[in-house]
Amino acid sequence: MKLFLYYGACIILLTSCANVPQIDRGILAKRIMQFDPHPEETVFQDEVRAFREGAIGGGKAVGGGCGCN
Amino acid sequence: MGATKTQRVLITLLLFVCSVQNAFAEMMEKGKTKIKTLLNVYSQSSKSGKQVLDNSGNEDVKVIEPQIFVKHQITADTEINASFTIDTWTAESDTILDGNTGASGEGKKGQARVAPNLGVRREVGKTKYGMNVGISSEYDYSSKNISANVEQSFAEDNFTLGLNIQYYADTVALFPDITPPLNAKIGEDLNRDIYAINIGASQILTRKDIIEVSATYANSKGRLESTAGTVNVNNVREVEVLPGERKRNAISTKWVHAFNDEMAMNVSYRNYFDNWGAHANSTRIAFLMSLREEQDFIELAIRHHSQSAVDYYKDNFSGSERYMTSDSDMSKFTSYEPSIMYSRSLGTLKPFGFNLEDAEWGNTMTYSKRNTGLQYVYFQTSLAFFF
Repeated sequence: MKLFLYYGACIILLTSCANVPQIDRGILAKRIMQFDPHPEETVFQDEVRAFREGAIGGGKAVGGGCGCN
Repeated sequence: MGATKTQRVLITLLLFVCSVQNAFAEMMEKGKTKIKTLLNVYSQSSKSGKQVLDNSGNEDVKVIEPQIFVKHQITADTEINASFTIDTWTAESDTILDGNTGASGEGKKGQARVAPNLGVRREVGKTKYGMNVGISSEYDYSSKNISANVEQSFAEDNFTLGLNIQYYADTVALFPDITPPLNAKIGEDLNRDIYAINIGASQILTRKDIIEVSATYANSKGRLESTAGTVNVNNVREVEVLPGERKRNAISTKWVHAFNDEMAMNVSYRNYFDNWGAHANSTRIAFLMSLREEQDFIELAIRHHSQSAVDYYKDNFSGSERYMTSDSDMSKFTSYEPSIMYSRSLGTLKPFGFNLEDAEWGNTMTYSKRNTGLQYVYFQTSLAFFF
């Protein structure tokens, strides 16, 4: 139930935002504002975390493709 | 905490509208090529691994992994990309189970994992879609994998929805009988299938704030044990035994906030749970700075992770049980992971007459320490350029 409330709130929040015009997105286009500013390095980082922790998710590695024990 | 099947289906439907994709990932100019070489050097030390055959607990391992990433823009709206990875490592012996296995000690040298990957990405109007195929091969593990993703932006690109699906057709070789260990022979390849779906959304909140939410479901079926994982049953080592299916769920959020033109904060949180009884919370906060008119880039981050053990985990077993593992990665632990990244623009390089534009040199150092004693550090150094 908590999950439904959480995601319901997220959807409402995300879809009710006022648009930021293209001309005002100067800062948003910068590297410091990227969700992942170094995607190639993240491949290895995600891999390490996927195999060194019981948990996966929130990244691209999902525990496949490698024996990495 | 575990979600019922109905809950997962409803979450999936609710968020089908949603993938954690970068709203600003732009295509390159037609004909342009980007190459990035990356060297990863990983070193782990621990004396607390209960799965290690010789009871030493030694989980020391070193990995050297060079990677190369290539992207080429073949038309204005289509990009092809490829990556190639080679791993070499020191731990685990090859086909013989001895005191150096269980991800420990000085195993045979010269082993390698080779993993090429090829993909294409296309942009049509407000929609981006892509597909990747890859293989991976090492002595006790192989993989053939495919992934596809689609991303749609709305509201003048303020809101982005996406979906990513991955499928892995893997095989793993295990030691079926380890009594006595020195006579154990590695068995034939056994199937392990993994599929995962990630759905999410990103939204620009203000001129200085952007947020994303995502959900991941991954299902692994087949032989999920580790090749050299063992358990101690009344002072006798037996092979690890795990269920044939693992259903894993994660929800995550990320918020990026700019303090000014040159400094931002990136905060993320993930909640994970699975049907093996594991539950984890991971939080990361990073501060990002650009200096010298964006010629230099610095990221300082700290990540905290805590997880509960899977239901089948024990340090030692008093008798044989249906499912048993002592794998330290499935035990209860808390870890802290500070990291620092620095990259520097080198401008245009002209080695041997080639014109390599926008060259960038990057270095990352990450350290992680668990409250169980295991710690690892890895260094990543890269050189990227366009031509």
